[in-house]
Amino acid sequence: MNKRILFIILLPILFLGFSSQEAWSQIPTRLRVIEASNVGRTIDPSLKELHGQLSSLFRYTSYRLLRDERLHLSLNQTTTLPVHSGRSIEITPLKFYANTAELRVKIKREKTEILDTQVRLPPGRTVLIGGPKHGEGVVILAFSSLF
Amino acid sequence: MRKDCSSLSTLLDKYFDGETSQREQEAVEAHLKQCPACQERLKFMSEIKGAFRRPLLETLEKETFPWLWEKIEREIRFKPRETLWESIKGWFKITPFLKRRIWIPATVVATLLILLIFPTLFKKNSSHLPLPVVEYIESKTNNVMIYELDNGKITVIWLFEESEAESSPS
Amino acid sequence: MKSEEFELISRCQQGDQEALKEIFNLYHQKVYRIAYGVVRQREDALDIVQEVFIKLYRSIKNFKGKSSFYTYLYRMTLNQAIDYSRKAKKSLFSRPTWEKEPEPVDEETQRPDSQAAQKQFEERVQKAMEKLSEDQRGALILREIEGLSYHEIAEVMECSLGTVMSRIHYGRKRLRELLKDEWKG
Repeated sequence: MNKRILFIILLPILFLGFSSQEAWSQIPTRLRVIEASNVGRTIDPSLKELHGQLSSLFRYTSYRLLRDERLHLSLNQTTTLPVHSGRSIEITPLKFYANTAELRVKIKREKTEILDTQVRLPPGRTVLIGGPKHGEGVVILAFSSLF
Repeated sequence: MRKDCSSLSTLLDKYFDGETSQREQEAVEAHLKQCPACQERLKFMSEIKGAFRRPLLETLEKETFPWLWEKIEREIRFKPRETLWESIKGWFKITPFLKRRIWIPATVVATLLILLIFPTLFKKNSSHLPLPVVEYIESKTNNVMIYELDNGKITVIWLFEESEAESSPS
Repeated sequence: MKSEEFELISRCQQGDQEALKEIFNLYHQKVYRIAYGVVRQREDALDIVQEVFIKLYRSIKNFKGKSSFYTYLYRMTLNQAIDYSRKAKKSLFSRPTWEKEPEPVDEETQRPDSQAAQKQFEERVQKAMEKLSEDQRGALILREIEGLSYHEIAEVMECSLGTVMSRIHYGRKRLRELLKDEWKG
């Protein structure tokens, strides 16, 4: 076969292979720590949109933002953040492929691991982790992609 | 509905599906004895199941699968299975275009254009990736549920506190 | 995997069409049931059965026996049926036309145990099922129609046991909400 033809066929395959890796050095994400409860009817203005989306699932009347962090995560490096009353979250990006981040997320209470999960985070996606009691309500961690 | 119904809510599904352990089964049965609302709910689950299955079973009873195998056989004979080598050869069948020299620079330009717009195209589509958001999950201390909201943008992972299942979604 | 089934699959992987016919005879009703569960129309379900077995013949060489054959086949069927309903825009979310108008109900048939009331309830259940997410509907179809265990459903849907429980639990919860007029609980 003509070498030139072979080259033209292989060239895009090679390029596509490289470009799809899209090795980002930092992965921009956002972590919000929210307290949801039925005490009062206060909804933090920055959570109004989220509250609207969650109204079909949760019955809480009050949403309070406890913490809002913008994180720039690095591949294979673990970021640990205290979230509330002795609990902490550990986030480790494992891959960034096809514009989607694959993250290992662990939640610990003191030294006990209460959750170990691996999630894919495409653009515009939010993963909520909720349930642990906090004050009169529960704490919800909202983890969103900012890419 | 009694106060402890919500804590049995997931168990009731497991019980209905025969997936409970001995201990769970006993807990559900003890609760059912004193809770007419949950009895009613179980009955309703059974009615829904029946109403979902009946039309299918009726149609299946009458179904003769007319000539279905013949159609499949014709299809696989007409288009026999391709080997890898054949599919590669098939690919090259479209390449006579490339023999014309004018197509060579055109292909290079088109390839470069695709490479330039590729990240943008991918970004638009990636929010609809069919891959599951939660790839793996484990909790040694809590029961966990995963819920996808209808808007397709939010995934909820809910950890049930041992004594506080009422804090579950809705 | 049973040895006869293993032999059938091996023969089919080598291109033996007779082996495929035997697999078809063993499984076509199960495939039809799942397909019908998703598309709820006889002709569409028959098309899906046909597509599934053609696809199976062409791709069976990729089956490595890591999961049971039936979970492999059920997964293929569920995916094919969901794709079909999406493509044909006859998804259960948006299919108003094929369903028959409810027949006029006279006083006699208005008794709750009458056949007409039962038919009406079946139609309402059907419409409510259309409103579930594809995942919830898929899990419920495998459970209610095929009677698969949670573990088997997890294998077919390639997800965790917790996800299966969640899909079934919230699927049923949504059904109850949609059919709450019929439920006095």
